[in-house]
Amino acid sequence: MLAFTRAVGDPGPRAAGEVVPPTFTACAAIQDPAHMRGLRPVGAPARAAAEGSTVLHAEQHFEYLALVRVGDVLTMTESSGDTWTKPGRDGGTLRFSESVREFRDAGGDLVVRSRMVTVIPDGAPR
Amino acid sequence: MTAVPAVGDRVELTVCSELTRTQIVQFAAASGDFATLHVDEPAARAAGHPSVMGHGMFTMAATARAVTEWFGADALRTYSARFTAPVWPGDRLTTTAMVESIEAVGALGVARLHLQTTAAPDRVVLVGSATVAIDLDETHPNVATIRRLLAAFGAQDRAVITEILAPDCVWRVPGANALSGEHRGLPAIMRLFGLLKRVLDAPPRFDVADIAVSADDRVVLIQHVVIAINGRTHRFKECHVYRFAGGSVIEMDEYQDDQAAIDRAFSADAVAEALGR
Repeated sequence: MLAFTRAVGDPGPRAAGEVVPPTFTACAAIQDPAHMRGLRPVGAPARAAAEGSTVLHAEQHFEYLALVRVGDVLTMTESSGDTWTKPGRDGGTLRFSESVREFRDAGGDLVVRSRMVTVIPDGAPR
Repeated sequence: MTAVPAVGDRVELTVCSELTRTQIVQFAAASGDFATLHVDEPAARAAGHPSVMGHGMFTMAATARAVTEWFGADALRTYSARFTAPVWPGDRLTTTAMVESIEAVGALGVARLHLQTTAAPDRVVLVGSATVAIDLDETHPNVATIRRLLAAFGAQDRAVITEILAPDCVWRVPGANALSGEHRGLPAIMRLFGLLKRVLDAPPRFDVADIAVSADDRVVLIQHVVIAINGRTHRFKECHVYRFAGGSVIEMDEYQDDQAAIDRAFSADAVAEALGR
């Protein structure tokens, strides 16, 4: 939390029991012991890395079903959502894909749901 | 919760005075996103970009401050962003948040905000929206009374609790546990709260999800309660319905989302263990 608030210019830090910043759950990857082992990411970033430097983060959505506070223990599950294409500006194709994450508290209740949309821009090499 | 906003109200906040490569690296470490686009300048250039670019999630985190500093972090219900252009080192980011609509849901309202973050002078880098819960009817005396009561529970302020509950108040706790039953009259209710205080490791925490007033001035409260007993933390979803007379609470009916779980947490054995410490 200290590292996050420092990096985003949040006046933090947050004490135990305080509500976390709204996008903090998007940093869940750093809690995965396998993430960046041997410089290899896991989850959605791994799929992005496989595509090279051409993948862009297009959209991000959060739904908050309950407050998340410093000290809460959450469990995250990640799944692939829809994929779709849209015509690009110069007649090419934009390829979108979606990654859905659900964060549950210690009692198993859903507290945050998030959706990330990434895009591979027009004409980008695969 | 904050003062009731009006459609068209807006705030503008500089959320990043100058994005530096150091800050991009700092965010990579905090978020775990080490994509070469953000941290490897030669790789970013090879992909056709002029330099490394800031993380979209950095912009989204910075943008959120315009909302949380206005409405508080606990008011947020949804938050969405589209990243409309890259953010580059040297960018100065300014967010405007504007109230687009307000929808009433009982005493509670939901304000929809339009968000836009611009890199100076005029490159729009984020277009988004957020919905926040607002108290439309802060002046309804019964809602204010229940908020005071919850604060008094949290602070274990006996004087305020006994002022709000009528002497002949009835407090109905469902289930089959050490707290269950129909507790009639203030002395019986205060004995229940006294027992609760002795068995809990720390004062309970209440996160109000919704609070509304019915046509006959009952207050309906939906909340998450976090309690710790015997070193274990439990989180419950519950609904309270409060009935009033002469400004005092005369009846409370409780409904639990997971009655079996709360029956286990406050079983006779668990309560005996807590009291035996």
